[in-house]
Amino acid sequence: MHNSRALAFISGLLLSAMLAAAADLSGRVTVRGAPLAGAVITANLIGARGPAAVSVTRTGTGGEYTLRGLRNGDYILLVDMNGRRVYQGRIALTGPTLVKNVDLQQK
Amino acid sequence: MFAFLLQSTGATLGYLCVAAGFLVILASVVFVIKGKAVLSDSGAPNALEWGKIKANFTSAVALFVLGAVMIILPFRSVVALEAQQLPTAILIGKINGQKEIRLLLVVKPDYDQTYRGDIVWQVPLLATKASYSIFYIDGDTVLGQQPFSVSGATPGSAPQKVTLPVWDMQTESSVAQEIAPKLEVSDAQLKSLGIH
Repeated sequence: MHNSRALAFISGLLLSAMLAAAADLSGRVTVRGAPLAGAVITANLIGARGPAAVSVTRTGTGGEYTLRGLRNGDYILLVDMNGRRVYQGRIALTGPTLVKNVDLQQK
Repeated sequence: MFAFLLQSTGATLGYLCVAAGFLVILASVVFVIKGKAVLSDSGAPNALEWGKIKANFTSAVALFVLGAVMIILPFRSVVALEAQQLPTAILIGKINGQKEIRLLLVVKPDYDQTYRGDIVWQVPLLATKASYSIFYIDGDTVLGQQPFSVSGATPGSAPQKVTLPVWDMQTESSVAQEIAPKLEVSDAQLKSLGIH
């Protein structure tokens, strides 16, 4: 009985640690293969509230971006360039890392 | 004042110093009462007598002054430190709706400047262990942000130089206009999720 309680407690701790594990979202934003630098990347955790629900970064000179320490879950990924929305999509973050590349087209 | 004393190691040392000061004063009084501070029976020219209390004036006063200094110094330091603390304000407001909105405090006009061309902007570091972001704003539209951090800065040291990436407004504007928006999630869906 005592051992089963300890096992349940440890399992709970491990489960909590797994749920709280931070994940990284990275990728590249390109326009017909050319890197899009300076785009604002916003990841909105669906159904979550609080400061951790929204993560923002900016693409580098190669169009690359990385958002670290995200919680697992469904996200709305937004890409804005010069205040103009150029991409909005939905992604599911289920593991420790996810690579999401966005290739855009010219008009 | 006393709440601040509890917040640092220096404050703990200050408490110990004050306590030691009280002990030194107490000891000086006890020494006088017990007659330990009297030089000798031959009588010193500066000896004090008050009833049973006899003491060498210099030694007793010196001990007392030492204790008093040990009490006063930490409190003077605390008062000086408190004078350096920034005053605070409590902002009270309300946001209607389900979405939580992130509030960003921006000090204006000191830390809000417009530039075209080269940027040379000396800004204060509000905390030693903090990261900062420069927001690029055109009118009411936030075009983007550039995070940066400064390490090892100390009061009185020379300003550290932080090089920001070149912000090419013309190129970005033209590039953005040429991109065809790719909307895998509709605006209506975003609105239903409370995301804009």
